[in-house]
Amino acid sequence: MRVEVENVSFTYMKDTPFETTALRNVSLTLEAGVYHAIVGHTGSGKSTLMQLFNGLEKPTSGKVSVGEWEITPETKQRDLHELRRHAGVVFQFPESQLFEETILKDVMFGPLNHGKTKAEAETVAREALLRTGMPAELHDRSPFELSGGQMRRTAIAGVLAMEPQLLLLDEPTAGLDPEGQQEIMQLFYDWYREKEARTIVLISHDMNQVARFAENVVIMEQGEKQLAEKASALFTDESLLKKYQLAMPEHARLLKRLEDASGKPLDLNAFSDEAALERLLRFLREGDADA
Amino acid sequence: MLKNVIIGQYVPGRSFVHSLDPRSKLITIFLFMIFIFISRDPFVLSSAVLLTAAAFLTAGIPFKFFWKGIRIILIIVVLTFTLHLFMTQEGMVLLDLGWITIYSGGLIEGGLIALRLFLLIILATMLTLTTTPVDLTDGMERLMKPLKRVKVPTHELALMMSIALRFIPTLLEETQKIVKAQTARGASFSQGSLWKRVNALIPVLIPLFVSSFKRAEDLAIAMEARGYAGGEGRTKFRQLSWRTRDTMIVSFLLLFGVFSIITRIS
Repeated sequence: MRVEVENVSFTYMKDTPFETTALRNVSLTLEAGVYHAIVGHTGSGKSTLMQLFNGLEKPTSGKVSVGEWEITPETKQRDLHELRRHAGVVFQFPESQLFEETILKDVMFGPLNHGKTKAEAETVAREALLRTGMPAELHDRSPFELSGGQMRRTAIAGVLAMEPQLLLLDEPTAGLDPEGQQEIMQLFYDWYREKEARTIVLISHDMNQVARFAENVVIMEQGEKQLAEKASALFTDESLLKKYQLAMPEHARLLKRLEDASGKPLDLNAFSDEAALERLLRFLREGDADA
Repeated sequence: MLKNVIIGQYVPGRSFVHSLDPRSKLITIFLFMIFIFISRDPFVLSSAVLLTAAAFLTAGIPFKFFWKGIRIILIIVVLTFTLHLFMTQEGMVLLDLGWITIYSGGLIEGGLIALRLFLLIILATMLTLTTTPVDLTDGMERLMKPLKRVKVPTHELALMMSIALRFIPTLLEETQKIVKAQTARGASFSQGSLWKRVNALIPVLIPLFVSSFKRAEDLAIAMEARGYAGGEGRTKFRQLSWRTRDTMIVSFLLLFGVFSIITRIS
């Protein structure tokens, strides 16, 4: 689903001594069928921005359009119920939302809320659990007996089971070990690739992750949008990264060093192991040819 | 609705009310409470209203914020008023509908109780709004000190209270987060029958309990890791300081009390 944000501002706890402005006059468009990322420092307003995309928060002023839905300050909560089926959110530490007696029942919660029958809900729930790597023999266990990683997978299955078109990810791998992080990110990517129309918006502090998966990057700072740029262009531009205090992804950094050391121009646009390896091999082969 | 809860919140400030010692604030409110519940004298009660208003104005708490916060609690005031209105059978009959009779005594009693509760709620809310939780519990601990002789675990009581106060905002934040997560999964808290709405709370309450227990465990471990072993021999970094203004306000309240007792007896 396409997301369009027009002149949106957002203030927390308006009219209290704790009033804080989280978003200032933000306008941006996130096209459908694209993997987007929102980056920025803590408190830059990226989480708030994302919560506007499925109506969990309503803008204090301005307008957000998500697919065919429009969210303005006047929008009623009940009009957003249907939107939430199409726009799923995986929050930071989503395992804190688990509550049912069994894993299966917990994953069925979303589909049941959106009018699926028990049988239908069970089918989609089992599918979602298998997709997230939760084998069938675990489905009847209590979610509170699981390991942290398994709880995370269950919670993610609970979101995927609603069959959303737009998936909002707020630091979905925070607190996982490196291997777990990679598996979870791959899982989302496979989901995204499955259907043309699927859209992902990822919030992450890990620039390796962002560069590896996202096609379009939005930079937020102090509640304002700073830049929206193609990932390949942003992460190969050292001065741009420096300006926004972002780290260059590891693979690109390695190639950049090689470029600086050898004096030969290199294509830095490589953010996965495979792509970086391919560039390195090509560099070595060309070196051989020169010799 | 959750956004408006102001119990346990502290609004920083430099007003006269803020600067009072927590002990004098506690004593003042305690005395005030006793006196307004003793007195039926219109002069005493109206001066109580004025005192409360003056305290509120000097504290500099934004009215809109305050009003939003106590609105929910005021239901209790309205409820008690209505109960007294219908249950008291004294004085002249004001309204007789056959199945229901309202007496003038009921109106007076109801109004009196409502006013007392109202003032109490305002002052109690202001106490937490103008005093940091640490100061509040320190004050309580000091005031309870004499009870230690009769083996009342005053330090532990104060600690329990400060932990409870400290975690009210955390718990609210956590609740909000879980409500959001479940709303995103299609839960609805404002639709359907009462039964449905009560049931809708289960997906919020269970995660909340789970995380509270976990947090309590973490806190206990963190305290032990830092060598906490109860109140015995513990010194305080923050010292409370009783100043002239504290003596002034407490003696003023005592005077007010004597006055209200005199009017009650005569």
